[in-house]
Amino acid sequence: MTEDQVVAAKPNADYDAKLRSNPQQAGNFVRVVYRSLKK
Amino acid sequence: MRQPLAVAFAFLVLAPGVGAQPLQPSTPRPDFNTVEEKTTDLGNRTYMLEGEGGNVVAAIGDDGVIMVDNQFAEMHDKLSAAIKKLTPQPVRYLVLTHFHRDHTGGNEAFAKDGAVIVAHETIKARLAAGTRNGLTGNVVPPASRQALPAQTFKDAMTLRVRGRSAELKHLANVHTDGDTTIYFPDAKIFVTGDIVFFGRYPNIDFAYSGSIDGMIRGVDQVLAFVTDDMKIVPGHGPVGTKAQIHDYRRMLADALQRRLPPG
Repeated sequence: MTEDQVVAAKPNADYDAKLRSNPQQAGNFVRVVYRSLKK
Repeated sequence: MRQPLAVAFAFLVLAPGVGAQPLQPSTPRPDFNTVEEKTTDLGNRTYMLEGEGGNVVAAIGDDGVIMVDNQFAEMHDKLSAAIKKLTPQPVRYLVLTHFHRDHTGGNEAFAKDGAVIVAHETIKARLAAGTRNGLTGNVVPPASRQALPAQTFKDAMTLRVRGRSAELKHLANVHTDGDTTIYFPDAKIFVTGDIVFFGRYPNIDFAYSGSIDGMIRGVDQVLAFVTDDMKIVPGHGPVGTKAQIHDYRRMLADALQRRLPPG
């Protein structure tokens, strides 16, 4: 899956709600996790 | 000052972790004129200051202050004024938790005021070379000579002013490659920098050796040290407890477990 596809899948949706993260904050967290694993 | 095109291009080519990945929007620039410093008394002459940027801690001794981080450059005057309300003692040492500008922007001004900047050796190298945000592409130019740490350490270091001490410890490749935690033993206050957050997602600076598995390892190191009676000062946001770090660690582990395989 591409990074954008992973972000769109919202793998942390429960935490997004619990932490009241806006879409950019939630998406950026997924992106930094994704990129740190891809390196 | 506008970044010269050649320097900006060099960052695009040379910065670690920068490839063909799409850039994300930057956080809007804050209106520093409207920001006020909020001071929280953590006990035993130790205070947390919250303005714009990372949390600041000021530990007041009998002949000087040990300060941790300093927010953005624009916050210097307000930060300095807030500390002067607490004590007539000068800031003797300014310790940095990592190199990010929202924690180190006031370096030059505080150094001009007489503070000795103390940081892990990697932080000095990053500040001296300038950096680029892997997610947004924002470039931070090299810091001035005066903004660089005057004292560096490799693994651990203890700072003392009369009546106070601070124990500095480097944790490798967690949020960045220069992360430092600071413990004030007489106050039982542990400062994590951006390794720990309460009630919000962390940033992970993957361009400078931060990673999700490094974050989990770093949090485990923190958990091995802290006790239930300590006050934990995170990089941003409210003070927390060891129990809250366990919750945070669980969230990081879930994020790692739920990762989808990079395509």
